[in-house]
Amino acid sequence: MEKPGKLKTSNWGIVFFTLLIVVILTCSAIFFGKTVFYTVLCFMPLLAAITHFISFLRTKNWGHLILMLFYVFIVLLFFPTLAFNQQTRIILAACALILFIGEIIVLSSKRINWRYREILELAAYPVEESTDGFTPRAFPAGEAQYTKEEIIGFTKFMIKHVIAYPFVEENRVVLVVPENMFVYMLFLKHSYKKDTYITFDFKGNVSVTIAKKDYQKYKEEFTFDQLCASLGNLFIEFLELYQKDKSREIIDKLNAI
Amino acid sequence: MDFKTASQLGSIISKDYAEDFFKLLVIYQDISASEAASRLNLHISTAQDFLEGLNSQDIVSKKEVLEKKRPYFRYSLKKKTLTITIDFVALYNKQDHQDRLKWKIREKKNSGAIFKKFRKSDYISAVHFFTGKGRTRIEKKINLTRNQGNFLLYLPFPTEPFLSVAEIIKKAKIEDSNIPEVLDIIDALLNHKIIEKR
Repeated sequence: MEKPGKLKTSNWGIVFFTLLIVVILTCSAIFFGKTVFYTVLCFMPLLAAITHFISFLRTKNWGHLILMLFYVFIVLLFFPTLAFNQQTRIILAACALILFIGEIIVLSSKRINWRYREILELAAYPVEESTDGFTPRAFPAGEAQYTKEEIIGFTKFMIKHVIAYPFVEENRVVLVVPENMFVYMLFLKHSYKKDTYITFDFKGNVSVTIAKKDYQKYKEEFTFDQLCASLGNLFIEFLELYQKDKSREIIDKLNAI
Repeated sequence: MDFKTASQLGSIISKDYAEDFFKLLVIYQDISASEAASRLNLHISTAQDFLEGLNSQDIVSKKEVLEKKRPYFRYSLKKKTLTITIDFVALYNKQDHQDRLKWKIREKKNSGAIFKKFRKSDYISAVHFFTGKGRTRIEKKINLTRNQGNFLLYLPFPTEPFLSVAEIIKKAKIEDSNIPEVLDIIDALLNHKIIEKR
């Protein structure tokens, strides 16, 4: 499925974030000395460990657990006030190394990768026409056959594989496709109205809302109704695969992007 | 009785002095504007306008008489009761209704309207839009009924083919009795160039 990407490639957020970390570490080393440098160096993996621990609790995806443990061992190894003896440090380092290999496996298998870009790419694949006509209204994407239990099970699958973040409401479930999944996992954001989301109500109706910021991530202004219909069809297809116990195919499809 | 006539009658009988004026018209066989004005302590032109208003609505009759070769009018009451009946249902043109169901519509491209969704639902609860330019630019908001919001959910996107109003109503599963309110919002949105018609 090698096709040219339809999304813009710029991802300045990560570049700025990385630069910010480098600047903080450099400044702490230059202005405050070695001890503060190591404290700051350990504070970042500590935050990452907490984030992955909460993510593990929310998703039940053990990939987060491996990353969390790796960051915990990094903190134990480098935190200045924890002056372990040489033998303990060697054991900690060995554990960290094993966990680092585990982290590489987890990351390379895309087990905890957010699927934001893949989903937007897949939604745009069948759309060839480009006629701008954005509207913030929801697009009724048709109907699907499912029970309430099935759709709730589907949402659990989606969060476990960090494909979409679910909200189970009184009469429907909402699957949000955020660029940054952590803001939802860490309860930093409660409203999904400004993100792209797909809803499945308990009567079988499916609707799609694409956020303007996500629409603007495409290189072209794809015909908006076709893009919404395609995204709706993609999620209906995912649901059908889930119902047929072919969930692996969903992951394969996303990994193929 | 058509609404315009009813509102004119309403306007006449809502005057502060109307009750006293009608009492005079009952008491006197006929009366002139100057006699009524002096009796009710009104300006003669006020009394004249009031009587002319009643005459135009066929409540009083007027007769020209001469006094020392100077003509003037005397008014006498023609009706002993006044009934205002308005058929509110008749205000809505059903023929027009049928025509409008055939209109093909969709959302207008770059209309600038903001569609607010009802909490935990996809149907639209309000439409915000702007009128005027520069300093005179004003934000306006139309709150929608549930049926109107549901209709707008199924309104074709700016990039979709036009759909007839009847087809959208069918998709949105709106009952016949609620169609007039949907047609009303279509009119409003057409006026504000938020939807377009083919």
